[in-house]
Amino acid sequence: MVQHLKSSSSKSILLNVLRHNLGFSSPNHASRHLRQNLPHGPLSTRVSPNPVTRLCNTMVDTLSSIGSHEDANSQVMDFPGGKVSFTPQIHFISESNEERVPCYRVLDDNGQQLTNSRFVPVSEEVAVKMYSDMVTLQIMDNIFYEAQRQGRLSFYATAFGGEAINIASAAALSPQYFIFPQYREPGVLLWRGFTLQEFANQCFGNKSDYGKGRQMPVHYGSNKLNYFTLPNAVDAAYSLKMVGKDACAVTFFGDGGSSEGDFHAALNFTAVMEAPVLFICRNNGWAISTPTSDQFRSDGVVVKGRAYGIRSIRVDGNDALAMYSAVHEAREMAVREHRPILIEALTYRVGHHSTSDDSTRYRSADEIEWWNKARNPLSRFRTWVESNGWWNDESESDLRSRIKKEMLEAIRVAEKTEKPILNHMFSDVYDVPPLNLREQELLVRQAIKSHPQDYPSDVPL
Amino acid sequence: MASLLGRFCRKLVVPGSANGSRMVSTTACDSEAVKSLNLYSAINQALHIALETDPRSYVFGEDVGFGGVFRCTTGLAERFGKNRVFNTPLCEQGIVGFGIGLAAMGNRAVVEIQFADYIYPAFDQIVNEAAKFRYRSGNQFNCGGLTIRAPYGAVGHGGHYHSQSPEAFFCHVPGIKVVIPRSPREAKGLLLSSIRDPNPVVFFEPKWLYRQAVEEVPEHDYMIPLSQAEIIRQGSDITLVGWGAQLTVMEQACLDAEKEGISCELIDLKTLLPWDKETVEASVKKTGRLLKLFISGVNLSGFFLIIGLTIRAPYGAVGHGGHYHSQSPEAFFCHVPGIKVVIPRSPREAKGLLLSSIRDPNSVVFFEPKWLYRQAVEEVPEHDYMIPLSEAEVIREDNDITLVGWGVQLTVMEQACLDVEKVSALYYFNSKIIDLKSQLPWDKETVEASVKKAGMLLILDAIKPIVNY
Repeated sequence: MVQHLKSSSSKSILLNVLRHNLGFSSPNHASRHLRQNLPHGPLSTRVSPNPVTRLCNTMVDTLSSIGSHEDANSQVMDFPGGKVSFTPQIHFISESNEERVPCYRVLDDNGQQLTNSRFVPVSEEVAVKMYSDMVTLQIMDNIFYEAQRQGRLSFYATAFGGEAINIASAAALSPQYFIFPQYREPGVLLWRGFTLQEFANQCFGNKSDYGKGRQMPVHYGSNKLNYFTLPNAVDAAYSLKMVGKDACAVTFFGDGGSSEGDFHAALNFTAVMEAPVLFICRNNGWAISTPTSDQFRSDGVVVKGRAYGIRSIRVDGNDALAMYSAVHEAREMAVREHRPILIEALTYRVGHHSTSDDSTRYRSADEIEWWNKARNPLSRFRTWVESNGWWNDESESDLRSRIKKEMLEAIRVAEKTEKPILNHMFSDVYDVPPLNLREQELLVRQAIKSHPQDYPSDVPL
Repeated sequence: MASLLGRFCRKLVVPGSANGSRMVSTTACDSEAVKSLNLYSAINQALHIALETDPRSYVFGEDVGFGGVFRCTTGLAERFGKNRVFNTPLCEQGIVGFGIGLAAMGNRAVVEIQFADYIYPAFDQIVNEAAKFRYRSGNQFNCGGLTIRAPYGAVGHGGHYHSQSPEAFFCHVPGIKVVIPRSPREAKGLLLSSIRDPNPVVFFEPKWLYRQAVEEVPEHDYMIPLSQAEIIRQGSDITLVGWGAQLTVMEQACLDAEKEGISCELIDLKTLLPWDKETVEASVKKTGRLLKLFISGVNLSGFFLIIGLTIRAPYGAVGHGGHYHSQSPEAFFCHVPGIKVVIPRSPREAKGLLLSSIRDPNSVVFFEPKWLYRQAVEEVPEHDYMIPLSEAEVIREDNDITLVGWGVQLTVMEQACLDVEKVSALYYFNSKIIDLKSQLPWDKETVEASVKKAGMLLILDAIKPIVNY
C-alpha cells in the first residue's frame, strides 16, 4: 500500500477511489476480476450497459497496468545477495525442464561425422595415438580381468565402454595438469606414458609398485605423471591458481559418486574460490547394481552445475571427438577465467562393476551386448580415423597382437617379481616412524622367527 | 566436573608455572621478551608468525576473515590478504577436503573447524584421506602441511554442541597427530610445531582457557616438540596423566592430595598421538600407580537417540581389501554414550544377537565380520530366538589367563589357545576365552569374575594387517 502510494500520489488516489467504488482491494485484483467477469477478451471489445462502469473499468485497467508496471520496478529490492525483482504470480520453478539438456556429439552412431558438427580438429598423430591407446586399454582390461579369474590377481575393475572418456579427455589435457581420478580412468595414465609393466606391478603389488604394495589393484598413482591416488581436486586447483600456473586440476567421478557429499562440497567451494577445476562425470548408468533412476531424480548430473553457479555441458561420452573438444574448450575456460567447469559424459558401463560383481544379476545380458556392439566407442572412432586414411585392418591386427604380447610378458614379469619388504608395512604412516610403530615391527619380526610357518614365503624380510 | 570447572572459573593458575615446580621444561629461556597473553592471543601470534615465515601458508574456515568467533584469527586477513586468509562456505567436509588438496600441493593449510563438535562431517576426510595420503601413495604424495584447529571442551553453558571433547576418536587413526596444549605459552609453541610438522595434525584448543588463562608468552618464533610429554609436577606415590584444560583441575587436586600426604606426579601428555610412552613408563616405574584423566564421557552422557535404530555394517580384514575395505571401526563407537555396539562371532550367534539388537529400544551398531560371511557355517535354529545383549560368554573354560575378544578374531584365538597348550604342556598353561559380544555396554562382571580367578587378562583387538595403535 505504502509503496503503491509513493509511485504517484495523484494517480493512486484516483485509483483508490475507483477501487473503492468498484469494491476491490488491489489494482491487479480489480483488473483481473473485471476481465474474468466478462466473457469477451480485450478491453476494447468489452460492452457494459452502464457507461459509468465502462469508464471506470477502462480507467482501472489502464491505471492498474501502468501502476503495476511502475510498482514492480520500484519494488526491486536489495536483499543480501543482490537485486531481485518481485512477481505477484505464485510460480514454482518446475523440478525439471520439459526437455532434457541436449547432448553434444560430433560422430553419429556409425562413426560418421555429423554435417553440422563443430569440433576441435585433431591431427593424424593425435588421432592415431588416441585410437591406439583406446585399443591398448581394452586389451589391458581384458587380460587383467582374465588373470583375476584365473586366481593370479586378487581383484580388478575394467573400464569397458569408457575408453573414449579416458583417452580423449587425457589427450585434450596437458601433462602438467593434475589428475585426481576415481578408479575407472587408467586410460589417462596410459596416455601420459604409464607402461603396461607399471600397471601390472601395481596390480600384483610387487616391490616395483610405486604404492609399495599397499593398495588394492587398480589404485594407481604417479608422481611424475601428475596423477594422484584419489580426489581432492578443488584445493589443488586453488593452489595452482595462487602460484599463477597455467594449469588446472581435473577430477573424475561416476554417477554414483555425484551423490556423495564431497561432490556437492567440492562444487560449491570451487565456485566460491574461483578455482580452475574440471569436474568430469562418467555417467555410465550404473553404480554397482543401482541404476541412475535410484541415484538421483534430476536430469542427470549436468543440471547440478547451475545450482552452484558452474558452467556445464553434457557430452556423448562414447564419442571420442566430442569428448576431446569438450574437454579442450573446458580447460581453456577454466585456466583463462579461473572458473570450474562441469562435464557430464554420458556412456554405458559395459563391464561389471568389478571382478566381485556379476551384473547379469541385475540387468539383462542383451542390454550389455547391445551397448558393447552397437554403441562401442572404439568402432565409432575407428570408422572416423579410417575415413581419413589414417588406419586400416593391418594396423589394427598388428597393434592388437603386439599389445597382447606385451601384456602377457608384463604379467609374467610382475608375477615373478618379489613383494615389497616387510618394513614397507610400517613406513610412510608418518614421515618418520614413531616409537609404537618401530616396536610393532620388532614384535612382528620376533613372531616371524618363532612361527616361520605362519609367514608368507614371498614377502622378503 | 562442571562444578569443578565453576570453582576455577575466576582465577586460573596455569599448571606448572606458579608453583615453580616445573622440572622438565622445553620452552624459551627467560631472557627473551615476553608478553602477558591469553590463549586466543597466543594462538593468534602463532598464526601471524606461521603466515609470515611461509608465503605458501593459508588460514581458512568459517568466519575467520573478521577474526573468528574466538578472535584467534584477528588481523590475519588485513595483514596477509584475502587470498591467503579467507572465509569458507559452511561445510566442514569441504573445508578439510580443501585443506588436504592445498597441502598435497606442498602448501601449509591451517584450517579452522569452528567447534570440535562440528568436526564429524570432516571425519571421513581426516581418517580416509588425510591420514592415509602418504601411506597409500607409497610416499609419492603427502598432505603433511595440513593442520586442523578446533576449540574443544566444556565451558558450562555450551550444551551438546559447544562442549564436546572428541580427541579419543582421532587417537585410533594412524597417520595423523593429535595435539592439545594446556596454556598460552604451550599453545603458541605447539601450534607452530604442528603447522610445520610434515604430517597432518589435529590441534584441539581448550576453549575454556581462551580468555581465562593468562601467561607470559615469549614474543619470538619458538616451537615446542611434538610427542614429548612434560612432567609438570614431580611426585612419588602416583602418576597422573592428562592434557589440555583438565590439567588445571588436576593440579589443584594434587595440592589437595598433598595435604593428605599423597605425593602426585603430574604429566602433561601434550601429543596424544603418537604419545610419549617412555616418559609415562619411567614415571609409573617410579610411582607404581597410574591414573589417566580425560574430560569427556562422564558429564556429557546427555546423548540419547530416541529412535531404536539398528545399523548393520560388514567389517574387518579379508586379505585383499586394502585400506577401505578392511577397517575395524568398532573402537570409535565405544566412546559414544547412548548407543550399543554388538559383534557376533558365528552364524548362530549372529541371528540371535541381530534379533536382540533390532528389538532393543536403543540404537545399536552391529558389526558383521565379513570374512565369515561365507567361510563360517554352523547349525542355526530356524525359529525366532534372541541372544541377550551385554552378556559375555565364556566359550572355553580355564584357569591361567583370561582372553577377551569378539567377532572374527575368536577363531584365531581358539587356535592360538590350542597351540599354546601344546607347547606349554609342561606348564599347564590353560587359557579361558570370553566372547564379549557387546562391546558397549560391556559385561564387566563376567570379565571381572574371570580375571579374579585367573589373575591375568589379555584383550585382543581385531587382526589388522596395517598398523594398530
